[in-house]
Amino acid sequence: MPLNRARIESAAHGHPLALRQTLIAISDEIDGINQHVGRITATKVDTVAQSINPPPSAAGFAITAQDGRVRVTLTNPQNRVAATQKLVQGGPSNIAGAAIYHELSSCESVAFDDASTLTVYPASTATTQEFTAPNTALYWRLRSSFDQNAWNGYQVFGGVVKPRALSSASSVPNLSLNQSNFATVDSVAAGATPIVRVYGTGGVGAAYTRSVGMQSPQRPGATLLNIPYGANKFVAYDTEQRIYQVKDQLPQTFSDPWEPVGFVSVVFSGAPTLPVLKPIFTSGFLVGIQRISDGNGLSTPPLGVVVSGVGHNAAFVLFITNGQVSGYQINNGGDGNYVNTDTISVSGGISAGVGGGGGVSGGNGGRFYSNRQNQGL
Amino acid sequence: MFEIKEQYIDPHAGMHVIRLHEPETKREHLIQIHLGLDACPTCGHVTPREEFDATAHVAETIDKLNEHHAQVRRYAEKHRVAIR
Repeated sequence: MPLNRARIESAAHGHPLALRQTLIAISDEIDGINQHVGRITATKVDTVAQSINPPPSAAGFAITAQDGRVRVTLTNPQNRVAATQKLVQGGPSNIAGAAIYHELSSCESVAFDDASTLTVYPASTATTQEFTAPNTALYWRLRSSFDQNAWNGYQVFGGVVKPRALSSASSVPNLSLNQSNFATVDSVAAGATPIVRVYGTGGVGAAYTRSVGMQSPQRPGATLLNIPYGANKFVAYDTEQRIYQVKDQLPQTFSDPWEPVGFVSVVFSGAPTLPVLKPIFTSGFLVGIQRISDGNGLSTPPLGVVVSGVGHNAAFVLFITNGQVSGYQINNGGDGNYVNTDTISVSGGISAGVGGGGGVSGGNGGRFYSNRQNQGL
Repeated sequence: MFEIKEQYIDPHAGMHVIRLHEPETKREHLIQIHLGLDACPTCGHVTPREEFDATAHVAETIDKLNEHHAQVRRYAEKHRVAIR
């Protein structure tokens, strides 16, 4: 509706005289501008945006699937202009002005009628979206809108999309092994409670360096108090909470944000758990030792003796790592008179909670499985 | 000197977390006190914690860290090396 004197008189009717004078002054100003720059028609514009209708035309819709991820690339329609944008701003292109919302949905059925697998993702103006869906066969569809009320019709991507799981070829060489640390995780006794310490090459209290890929981030040293005596613990650094996590079992440390640090056998307050060993004889000679259990809390190698009624002179030594028996060496197979019912008696190896004892070091380079392979870790 | 920067209970980890900070070297050290929320994996026995004197242990740990830091400072002053 054009602005003229009659409309001003109508609008100012019943209002103070100052309003009428102000409106007339504005009208005169506009007339003056019109004389210089040409005709501009002032029209009434509502403060509330009009409903944008019709919806945009179909966007470009492309999908790639690789390494367990679905990547959706959308291309906004270039020549479609939102009605209110054109009205207010004079008609910009979509990219310059009007936001277009895209709503993606996926389903195992091409008819998108399987309620149990239909997933409608939140509408977004992003033109690139990624989803993790390894080994999952899904159909995808798209619709677009200016105002999230009026949508254009669904367009279904041609064909099922099934990204395979991440392949070895997509990772850097030696990925799973390309990480380590220079932490020591050990345990000492302190009165009635053991202390588990995490520290670097600078000694107790020092931070340690983690090596991962081409980076070497520093992690703080730690003093972990009140850990139960005689426990075997796996220590990991939680990069989200920035604290250490101490767990009983290795799988409990497999959370993605956690970094493996080390394994520790916490000191005992009394006698350690002695290993259980069984001798292996061939022709009456000691040729091997079966480690039925490796014990725990050993600070010195325990003494092992073959107990026999008739055999003599067999001798061997035991080695310990992280408070447990890690190996043995037979120095003398004996006199050849041993029988299969003979046994091994183990004694010693005690550190009664007085400094040291237990695990002496993480000793695993940050990889839990490196020196625990005999136990399937 | 090491100071307590923050401390809180993390019930998920079952830990009383005390984060120490040394402003001169910008070092951080964690003291974590196991609260015994998990049980013995073998017998299921939950270790009683009421008698544990956390305050004394924390103070002792801070003292040790500060003694270590003081030694580093003495060394740096003796040899006129900057700490950073």
